[in-house]
Amino acid sequence: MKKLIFSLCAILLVLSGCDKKNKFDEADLVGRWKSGTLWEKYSSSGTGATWDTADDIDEDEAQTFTWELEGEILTQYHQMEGSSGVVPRQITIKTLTASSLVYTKNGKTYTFTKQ
Amino acid sequence: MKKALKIIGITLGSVVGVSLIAVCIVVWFVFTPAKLTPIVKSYIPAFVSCQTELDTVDLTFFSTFPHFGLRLHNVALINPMDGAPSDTVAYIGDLVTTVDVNEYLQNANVVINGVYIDNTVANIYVNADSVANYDVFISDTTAEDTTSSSMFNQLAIKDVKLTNVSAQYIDVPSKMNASISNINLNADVLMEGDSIATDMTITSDAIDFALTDSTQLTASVGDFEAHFSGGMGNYNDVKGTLKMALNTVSAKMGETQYLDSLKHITATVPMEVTLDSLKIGLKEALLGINEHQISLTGDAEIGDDIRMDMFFSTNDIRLNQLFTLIPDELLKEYLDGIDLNGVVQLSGNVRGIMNDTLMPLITADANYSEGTVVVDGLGHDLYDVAANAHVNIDLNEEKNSSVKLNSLSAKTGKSSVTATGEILDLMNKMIFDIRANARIWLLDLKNDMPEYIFATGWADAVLTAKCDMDALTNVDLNRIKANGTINLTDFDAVYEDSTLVNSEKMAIDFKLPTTYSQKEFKEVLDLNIKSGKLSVEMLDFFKTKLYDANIRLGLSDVMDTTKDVAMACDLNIKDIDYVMEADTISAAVRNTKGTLKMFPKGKNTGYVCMMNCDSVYAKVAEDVTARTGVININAKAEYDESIEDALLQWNPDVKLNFNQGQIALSAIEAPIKVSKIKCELDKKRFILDQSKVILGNSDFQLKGVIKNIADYINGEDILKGELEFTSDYTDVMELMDMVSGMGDTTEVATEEPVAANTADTTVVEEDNPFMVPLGVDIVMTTDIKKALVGKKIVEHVGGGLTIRDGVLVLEEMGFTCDAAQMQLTSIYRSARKNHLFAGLDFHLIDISIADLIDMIPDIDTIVPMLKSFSGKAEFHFAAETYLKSNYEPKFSTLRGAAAIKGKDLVVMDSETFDQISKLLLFNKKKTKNVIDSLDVEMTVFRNEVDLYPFVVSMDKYQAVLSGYHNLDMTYNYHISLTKSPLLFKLGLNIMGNLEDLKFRLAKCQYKKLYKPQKRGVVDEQILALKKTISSSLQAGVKNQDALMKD
Repeated sequence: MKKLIFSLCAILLVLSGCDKKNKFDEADLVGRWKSGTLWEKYSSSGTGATWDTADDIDEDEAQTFTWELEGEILTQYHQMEGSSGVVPRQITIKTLTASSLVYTKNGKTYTFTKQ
Repeated sequence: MKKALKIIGITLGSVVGVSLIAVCIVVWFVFTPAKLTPIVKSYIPAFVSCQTELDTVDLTFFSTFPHFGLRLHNVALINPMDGAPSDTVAYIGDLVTTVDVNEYLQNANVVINGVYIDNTVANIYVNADSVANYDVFISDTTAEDTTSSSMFNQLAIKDVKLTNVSAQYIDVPSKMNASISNINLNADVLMEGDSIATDMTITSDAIDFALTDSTQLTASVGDFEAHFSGGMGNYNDVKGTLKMALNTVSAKMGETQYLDSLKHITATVPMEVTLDSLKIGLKEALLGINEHQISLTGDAEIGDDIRMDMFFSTNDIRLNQLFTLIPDELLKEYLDGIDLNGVVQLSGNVRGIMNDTLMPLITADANYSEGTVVVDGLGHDLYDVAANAHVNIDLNEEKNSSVKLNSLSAKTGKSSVTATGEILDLMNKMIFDIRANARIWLLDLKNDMPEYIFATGWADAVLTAKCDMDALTNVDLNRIKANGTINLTDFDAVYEDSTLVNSEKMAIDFKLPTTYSQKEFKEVLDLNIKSGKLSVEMLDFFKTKLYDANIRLGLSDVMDTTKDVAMACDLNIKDIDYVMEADTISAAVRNTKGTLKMFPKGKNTGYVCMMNCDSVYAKVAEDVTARTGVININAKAEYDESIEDALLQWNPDVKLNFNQGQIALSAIEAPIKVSKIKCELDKKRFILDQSKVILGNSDFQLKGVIKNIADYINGEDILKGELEFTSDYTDVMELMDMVSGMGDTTEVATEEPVAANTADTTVVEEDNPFMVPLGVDIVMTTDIKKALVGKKIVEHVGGGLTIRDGVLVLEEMGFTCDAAQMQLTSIYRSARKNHLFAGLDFHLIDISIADLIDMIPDIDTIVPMLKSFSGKAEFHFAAETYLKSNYEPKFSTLRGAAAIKGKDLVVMDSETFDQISKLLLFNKKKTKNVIDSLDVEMTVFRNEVDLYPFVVSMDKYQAVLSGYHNLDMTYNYHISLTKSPLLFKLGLNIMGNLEDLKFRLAKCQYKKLYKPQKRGVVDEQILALKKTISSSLQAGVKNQDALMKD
């Protein structure tokens, strides 16, 4: 019985771990997202871009990044243009559907809708 | 006695009585008309072929007492001809001739005591076939005995009188009509041997003459009188005096009336004429027309050639009286609009041979005085005009004709002019060689100047000129030789109401043609301008004053309208003061010397400027003040107006040197001292050979070359440049303070609510940020021995500043100081005005943390806890952001990362550390406040700074710090006490802002982060990110070995 319970627990742990890794579908992330004047774009190749029209920037002038999604953690790697420096940015996704993206960073919540 | 007288009386009376009786018998009974008339008539056909009429012929005595005479009464020659005005060719009412018979009988002298012809009419007519009605006389074919001496010793015609003679002459082929009326002739003729003496007078009431051919000439003379007194010897030598007077003379040719006002013509001509040689000698012969007289003395011989040697002299002829004799048409043709007056006197000589090929030489002296000349439209009348000239006219060799102008003077207004000289080749080229002096009040020339020029002042001119008439009339400067000096006094001139020129004294020397030559153009006119003070002002533009100015101006042919004017100007000006645009710009130039040239070059205009001056002072409002020492500029340019770009349009080739410059800018507190600049510029390249500048505490030299300028402007190639910036000492912060805000217009940006809009709508002036040029590849290498950065001296600053196709890169600038070894790379890119990019990559090796914060105070904003540590650290930092046009960051684009590594650091006491120590139960007294190592990574994204967890080990304590803060300096940090003497692990959250930090104990978040065997996935991710940040930053240290060595 103890072995059975231990095995079930192990399976649950594994499953829970698998659930955590695949909590959100990357495919849902691909697309252009808008939160007020802030825009983010994710492509299936793992690249992305962001721009804020409030700063008189359009998509053609967007800053690019690469991204990876692991569990609820979305990490953007912003390769600086003027140096070799890389600025990682870890985001915690709260909601990701085909049309909605909500994530938090440093206590702030960002809500995007797909465009 | 009485008786004797009585006897004599009776005797004489008897004799007379008998004689009278005898005469009466002879006259009335012997030679009666009835006997004489047939005799005479019988002889007439021997002489005349036409019909004749003769009423009577009678012998006269009493009417011609004391001589017998023969009188023919009513003699007529009749020859009818078609077209003739009369059948009568000639009619003589009475013809009486008396002969002294006794004298002939006793002395063989023919004495005709009288020939009286009265009431005579002649009608001479030549028909269209040139047949004359007077061709009725029969020639005597018998041998003529010319030896009259054989017939008589002496022939005397004592009294010849013609009265009331009229004649009319019509010549159809010649289209000539003439008539003369009431001719009266009174003459005495004495012929003795070969000598003839006569004294005759002829008068007429009217003479009319007409030519009806193309000349349409008509002429008339009122009363006419001629008197000749003299004689002839040997039938050859005539000597006497001819006097003539013609009154009321007029002539008309076509519609032109000549001699309309001619009152009388007189002539008194003492003459000696040799008939066989037709030699005429005159002695003070006087010809007069109205008031005008001409005296002739000399002789002329008329043969196959006419030889003459005649002196002439006129009286003083007043031109206004002379002009009345000239038809109005001619006056209008030659003197239209000219009112010429004065007195003319001529005297001279005509000498030489005149025939078909030769003409005599004419010399004359002419005097003109009391002259006035008024020319319509000239605007100034000439008065006191006087001239004296000697004229030579050689019609055989016309080039020998000349006029020598002994003197000429004239006045107009306040002005006067005198001249001497000569005119050679008078009949053809008219070569003038004139020397003139003039004192001219320039206002007198107002109407001679273009209306857009107004000039006043005195001009004293001395000039000589030599040219021919063609060159003069065409103002052909290439064929005019002239030179002179014009001294201007109190000179003021206004050009087009906008340019003012003033000089109290100015001298202009000119020379034509010039003795100078230019390789760029043919210099024709040379002007030398000297002025102690010369002012030039263009209204609303500039004013300039030249002191002790010596200006040589060489001009091309300014009259050649096919070419643009070329000029060469040699300057030597002691002082130039220049003020421009309402005193906003001023300049003072001392001892300017050099040459300026402007000349056509193909379709373009070439310019040359070779100038140097001892010093220049310039001021632009209150913004810029500049002083220089010696400036030397050697420049050429070729202006092509078809090109738009200014540089290519001018195609300059400039070499510039100057030294001892000092420039003060209002925007920069410290003066800019330029000890030397030497540079060259042409359309291909700009070469800065030398430049030494001292700016505030800094000094630097800049040299190098910018290439491909023309190709860059034409878009055919990029602009390339290589510059070297070397400095012994550079105060970086001072330089940055100096240039901070320069060109930034946001300081003057105005924000005004727009009434019709919302309150926050603003109107902002457009900024003008620095735009990095495209198509440019310029590299500037720096070599700074010492640089002051903050309070730190850095040495051996070397690197490159590159401007490449819109990007400005400060590339791998390495330097050392007592605090660190450093490398800096920065980028500035200007895609568009409101989207500028600025990036920074900065590495400091082995730097004191205090020095780091001192050098870069902004570090305290990004890593506020860094100031809690003391010691050496390694700092790597990269940041970039886009900027607005006013250089404000666009925070949405702000990215940054920093990595700090330190060893053996000391934790500084501070209020915050005390608070942390207290809450985390630090025993500060027993704890050595030295930490072994520090390894900090952080990032900046937009307005957030993320501090990745880093461990701090201090004595018995170990803590992990992490968190984030915003650029508004609100904090959210956490400290996990992962190792301590305590039996439990504590955490501490620090939140709020610097003025109100909140410290809250919390759960220890990083128990396992630095325990490799216990790390979780998240911990590994954190460390991986730290590694990514750190390694990516350190990769920017391109030449670490070199950096470390330096």
